[in-house]
Amino acid sequence: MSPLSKASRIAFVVLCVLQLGAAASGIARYERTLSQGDEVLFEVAPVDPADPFRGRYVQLGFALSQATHPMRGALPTQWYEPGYAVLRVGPDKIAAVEYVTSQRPSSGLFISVTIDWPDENKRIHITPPFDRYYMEESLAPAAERAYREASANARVSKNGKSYAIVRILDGTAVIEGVILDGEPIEKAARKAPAQ
Amino acid sequence: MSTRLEQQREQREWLRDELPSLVQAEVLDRTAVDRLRAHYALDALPEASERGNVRKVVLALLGCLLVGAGVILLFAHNWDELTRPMRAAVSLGQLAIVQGLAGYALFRRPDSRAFLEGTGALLALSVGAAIALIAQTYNLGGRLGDFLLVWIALSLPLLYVLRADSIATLVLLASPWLAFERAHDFDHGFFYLAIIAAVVPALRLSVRAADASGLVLLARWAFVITVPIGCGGLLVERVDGSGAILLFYAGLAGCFIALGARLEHTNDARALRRAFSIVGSLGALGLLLVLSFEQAVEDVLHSAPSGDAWVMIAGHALSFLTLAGAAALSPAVFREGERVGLSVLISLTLLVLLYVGLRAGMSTDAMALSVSLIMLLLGGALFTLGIRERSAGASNQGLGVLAVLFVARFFDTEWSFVARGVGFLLLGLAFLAVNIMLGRKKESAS
Repeated sequence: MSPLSKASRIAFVVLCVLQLGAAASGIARYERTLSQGDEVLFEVAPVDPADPFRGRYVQLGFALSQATHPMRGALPTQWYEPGYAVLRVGPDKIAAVEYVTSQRPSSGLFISVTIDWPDENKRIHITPPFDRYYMEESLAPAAERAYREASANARVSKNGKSYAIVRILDGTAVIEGVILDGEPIEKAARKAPAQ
Repeated sequence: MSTRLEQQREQREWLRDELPSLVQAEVLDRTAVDRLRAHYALDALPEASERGNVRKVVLALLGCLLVGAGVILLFAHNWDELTRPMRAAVSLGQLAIVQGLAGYALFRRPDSRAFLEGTGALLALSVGAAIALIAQTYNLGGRLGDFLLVWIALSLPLLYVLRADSIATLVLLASPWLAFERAHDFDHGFFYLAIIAAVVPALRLSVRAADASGLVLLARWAFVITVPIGCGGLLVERVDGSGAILLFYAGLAGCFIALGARLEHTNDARALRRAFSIVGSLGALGLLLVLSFEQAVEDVLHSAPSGDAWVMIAGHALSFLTLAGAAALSPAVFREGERVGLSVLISLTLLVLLYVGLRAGMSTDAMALSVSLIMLLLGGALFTLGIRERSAGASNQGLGVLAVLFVARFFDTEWSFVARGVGFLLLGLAFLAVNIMLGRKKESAS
């Protein structure tokens, strides 16, 4: 066997290990977050696009994305820098952002976010890492219709019943489910009237 | 002409295949064989196992890709019925299975190009599928640019490990998105350049187009089409305006033309084999055409600085790199006696000099007028070359440049209807006259 082909084979095995390792480590991290993470609720407002690469999903908008938050430490020097949002959770488990920082917190409940831009009052817009909920392809449009109906009857506010259930562990956040008007989005979508 | 090229290649292949038996029969000695191999560049020919297998490779590739796509769609339909652990197992399992197939190809069938290409492309898709399936299982957000970066980073090495040239095309087609999507990340999209650099060896720039395999030619086409788009995405809005962009595209067109002169035959009828020449010439013509409008020259002159300092430096460095590359490669144009390419290169050089003059204080209307004159001279030179060398292709190229110039001036300057009408009539008559003249010359020659 020539040295070149032997090197190719070794490189191939190493590459396969890297590929499987990258996938498996991701799965392990998210499974650990779902099993051991703290459960919090974030208010949502679904919209329905389609990502051709990753199936049909409900685009989620969050109140925390629409509001601005105080920044602790130096302001970002350019757009879309990575950062962290430290959370405060109420007795109803609904989470709010206490402050945003560029330094990883050593304790407390926090999620990795993208720091978008500061406004004229130096308050920060952020984008959370979770922005979609994948559903079976025929249900996603119905889910959006279900939300529109729910929001037409009752304004979604802090007393509203539409939110995403998110598990958080060491800054990693994974959506566990979405609740529309008190019931799982899958159930609400199946009950929604046909278009 | 392409038939003649085919015949030459067949003759060279015949000679290459005959040499071992001639050595064995002691008709030729080793020294004579080495001299023959060097003289006829027999080592540049693709291996016998590769030749004639293009159809097999393409069919294997398409078959594997279609099977992979079908499996993904079937999983997608039943996805909702699977539990989360089952979905994770499917994500990893399909990747492991395809890795096994590719491993079998590499370890047991390393001489089968079709098998290596097919499994290589399928493995690249499987990596992307695994990432996408995990993201879908855990409802992960993220941007297309991040997804592509991870996908390309894990798939690109397959290009060298499996020698699967199809992966070069896949990566080239996917990677321009990185330049656009990562505009606001810490690298400002410049990772795209690292990916391009990693793919360049797969273009086999030491092999002439006539000897290159179909997949290498396809990768070259993907390169010449996507690199101007991706790099344009890097430079626009990140760098000190249009000056660096002008220099970049002039340098890039020059590099393509020089590579075309070195690797391609201008009279090859098959466009598949003339990626560099065609896109280089079209790019040069496009650049000249745009800058023949005074408004565009104004934009170049008055573009405002933007972006971080290092980004602007990197952008300008990229522009100067392409100019340096064109200068370094241009001797090939002289060496090959490639007069059409030489004419275009000279035009680009004059354009760059005009830009220097613009920065030194030349007025914008003088520059625009000068660019129009360059186009006029270029068109005339190509037309004359075509007549002299009895090449309808070159003369029509020249007339094409002139036609584009006249149409541009039609929309740009206040010419009377009569002048414009006469101009178009004369141009049309010139096209017809040249083709009739060349036809008669060919008849009298035969």
